[in-house]
Amino acid sequence: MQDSAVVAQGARNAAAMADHAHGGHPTYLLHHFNSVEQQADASSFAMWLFLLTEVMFFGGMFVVYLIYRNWYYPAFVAGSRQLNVALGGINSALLITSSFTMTLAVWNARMRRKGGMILCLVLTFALGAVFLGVKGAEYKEKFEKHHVPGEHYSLQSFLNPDSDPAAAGTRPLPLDEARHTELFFSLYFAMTGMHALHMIIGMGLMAYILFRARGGAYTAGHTAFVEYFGMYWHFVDIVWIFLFPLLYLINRH
Amino acid sequence: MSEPREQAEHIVSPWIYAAVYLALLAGVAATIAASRMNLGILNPILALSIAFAQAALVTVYSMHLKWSTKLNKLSVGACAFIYCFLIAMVLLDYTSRAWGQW
Amino acid sequence: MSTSTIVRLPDQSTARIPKDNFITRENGLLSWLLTRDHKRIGILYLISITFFFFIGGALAGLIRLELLTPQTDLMAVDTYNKVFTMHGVIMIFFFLVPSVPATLGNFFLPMMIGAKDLALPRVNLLSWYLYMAGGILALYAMITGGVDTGWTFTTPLSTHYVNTNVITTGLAIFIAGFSSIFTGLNFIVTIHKMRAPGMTWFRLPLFVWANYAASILMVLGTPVLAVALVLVVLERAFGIGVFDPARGGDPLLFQHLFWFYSHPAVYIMILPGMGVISEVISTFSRKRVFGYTAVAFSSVAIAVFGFFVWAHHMFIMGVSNYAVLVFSLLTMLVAVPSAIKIFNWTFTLYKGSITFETPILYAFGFMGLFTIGGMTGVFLGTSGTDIHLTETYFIVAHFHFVMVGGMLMAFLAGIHFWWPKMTGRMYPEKISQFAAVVTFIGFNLTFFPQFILGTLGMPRRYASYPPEFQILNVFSTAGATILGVGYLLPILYLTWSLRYGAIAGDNPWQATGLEWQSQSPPLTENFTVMPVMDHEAYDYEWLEQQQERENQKEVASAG
Repeated sequence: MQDSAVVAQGARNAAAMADHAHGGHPTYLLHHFNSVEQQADASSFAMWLFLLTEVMFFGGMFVVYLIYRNWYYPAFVAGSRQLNVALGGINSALLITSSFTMTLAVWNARMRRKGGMILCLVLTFALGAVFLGVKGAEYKEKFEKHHVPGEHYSLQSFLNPDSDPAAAGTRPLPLDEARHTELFFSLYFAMTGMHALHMIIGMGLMAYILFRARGGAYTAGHTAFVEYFGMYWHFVDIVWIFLFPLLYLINRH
Repeated sequence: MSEPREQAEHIVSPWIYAAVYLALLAGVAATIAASRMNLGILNPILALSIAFAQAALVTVYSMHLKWSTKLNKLSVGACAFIYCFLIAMVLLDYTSRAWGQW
Repeated sequence: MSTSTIVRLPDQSTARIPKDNFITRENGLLSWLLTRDHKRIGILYLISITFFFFIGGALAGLIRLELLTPQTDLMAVDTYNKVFTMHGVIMIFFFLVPSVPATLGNFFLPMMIGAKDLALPRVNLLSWYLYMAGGILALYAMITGGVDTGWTFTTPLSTHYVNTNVITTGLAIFIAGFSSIFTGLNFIVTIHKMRAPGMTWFRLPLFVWANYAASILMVLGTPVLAVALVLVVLERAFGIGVFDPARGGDPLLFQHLFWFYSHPAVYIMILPGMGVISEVISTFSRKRVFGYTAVAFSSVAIAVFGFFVWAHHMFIMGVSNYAVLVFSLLTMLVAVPSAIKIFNWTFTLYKGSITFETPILYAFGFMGLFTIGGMTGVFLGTSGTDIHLTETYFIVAHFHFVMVGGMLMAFLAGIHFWWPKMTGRMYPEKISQFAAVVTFIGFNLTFFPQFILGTLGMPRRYASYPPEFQILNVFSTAGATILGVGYLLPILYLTWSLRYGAIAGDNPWQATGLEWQSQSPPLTENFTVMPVMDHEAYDYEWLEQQQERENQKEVASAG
């Protein structure tokens, strides 16, 4: 902004401050801000910065994945084959749909349609819950097949593929390569686990939003919290968009 | 400023959201289909390209970056740059080691 | 030393601390523990940081005591490992990283830009609680057995070969890391969005630029440390194998992630200190900072280049020779903006009207000691010499010169400079000048011998050493004792000054900057009228004219 424009804006803000003295400002304007625009601008920027820190956080794990996938490609292929593409694909569809319903929730909030917003939020929540349910089923199956890294990790599926319907027809791995599959599953659990944790936090926040929404909280002109939650939910979706091909589709031909 | 003001950004039409949604679903289908074909080195490149495109759609449209301030856009770009630097320099080390399994 | 001073205090017989200020506005413990006032949060941080500093200092004292003799006679080797590890963890994560940003930054950033508070006051309070939670967890880890891996948690030592509280400490640092992230996030948003009318980027005090640059590092770098620590915790807890060579993991991958943060971390630590030095040097030479734009951009340049050089901590760890070459070259680059600052400060002093109050004594100490520390960094960045000097006392001396001789001196300079504004009272000048000199002498005696020890080959992190190194170690320990006195004195006289110090008035240093235009201590809302910035930074002519205007007003109202 040019200095003259800044000063002019300052005069307008000062007038707004005077207005404030008579209570002429929205109740949601926090007192350390001079105007609703400033508050919205600052809050939206803050939310983006927070999401960027999350990008760097997940990004670190992707770096680890990048190195080990290239070091132990056959092991990663074998490990990836153990994952169920159908379930993973369904989960992708579920999460993407929940992202869509979330955008609609934000739209409804902006349009001040309380019923629509609540419906879309409930749908988002439900889709998220189904996603977590599917994930839980996948984890359970991994646990039963002894593919959870640690003491009980079993190499049977990789040394002897015909013993495992998911690996039947693939070539058996030599022992040292087979042992590297544990690294694949470590990354699988760490990355999807961290993702699931973020989803669970998101569901908790959604529950809070739904609780507040019934009192008309976000459909009276101040939609910030729902919008920023929407951004968070989309970020969680983006993480999964990368996780799915990198974990499930390493070599499926 | 005595009455509550609308937020400065305009309201995004649900049709845009729907278009993004369909594009994302198509992307997932395309990724799965492509993974079944043997394209050699192109497999991971194609999969990641689709993923980046999907992420870009979500960031720009669903997360409203397109209608957001220049500062927000610049910040996303800066983070992307730093992250790429991390990847590039780590790869620099690993690919140029004389020992190891790269 | 001349007796001239720029200090102008109000008439002590009539002066009073203003009745309504941010301290007296509300009473009660809860009003402090649940405050959203950035100034109160800054004070909360100041108290807690001082607490952790003395714990870290006590651990340093134990280290130096052990190293008086070549044998391990004071404590077992394992204990010694725990002592230097906790010294590093506490000093870095619980003192240096939050020191200036969380105390002086929190307190003065909004005032300097003409805002009523930071952009996210509740997040600011959350930051402090996260810091305390992390700190308490770290102390708990220390008390229940400690960690002995070194603050760098090098794998696979930290994941497989020790039985100590790595997980607890890792989690403590993880939590404290989020405190740092939120502080940085708050600063970036505030500086972008809440500047007063007329406060353009190039009218900002350089302290603001410095904190802005540090905040970028905090926001983008700390999450990578977080993920590195999470992976170490997962490896220890579940044996996932990411850094375990036996399972195909690469220990060096941890180091890439760890140092990707920890190198920018050193700039997180030093940049706010450099911001303080800019303010102090300008005020005590009565001159605007030479090359304002260069200093401002050099802060950002340090932040950006700081992301490019992390593997210079890994030259001997097994990275490829090619990576060593590239990172060594990049490291040469990062020294340039720091040097630019030193040159600009020197030229600010040149032909300035210099007086020798305590803040500028610390600033002089900073300039000399940081220069030495920085130059020795170049020796270490050169991979050939680094092979000999790394993991020796040369490194220890290098980082203590920049962090203690540099950053800690800058912190003390800032505390003394802004003490009258925060508390309304002046500290006692003579004893504080004495303490500054004692600190400088003690510091040099402690750490200069360590450069020599390092080049002679004494390794770091060893409780015992060849007997021929003893004399230098004795000097070092003697210096540490003197240094301890130098650090203890400010605690005593600053506390004394809270009750008995002279009333400072609004602007005892006659400094420029919006924070000096308010009362001391400031009101909760900082300003009664929103300030409009109509002059450049460090504009001493404007200040003179303003003081004349005030004098004329007083004369007019008296007559």
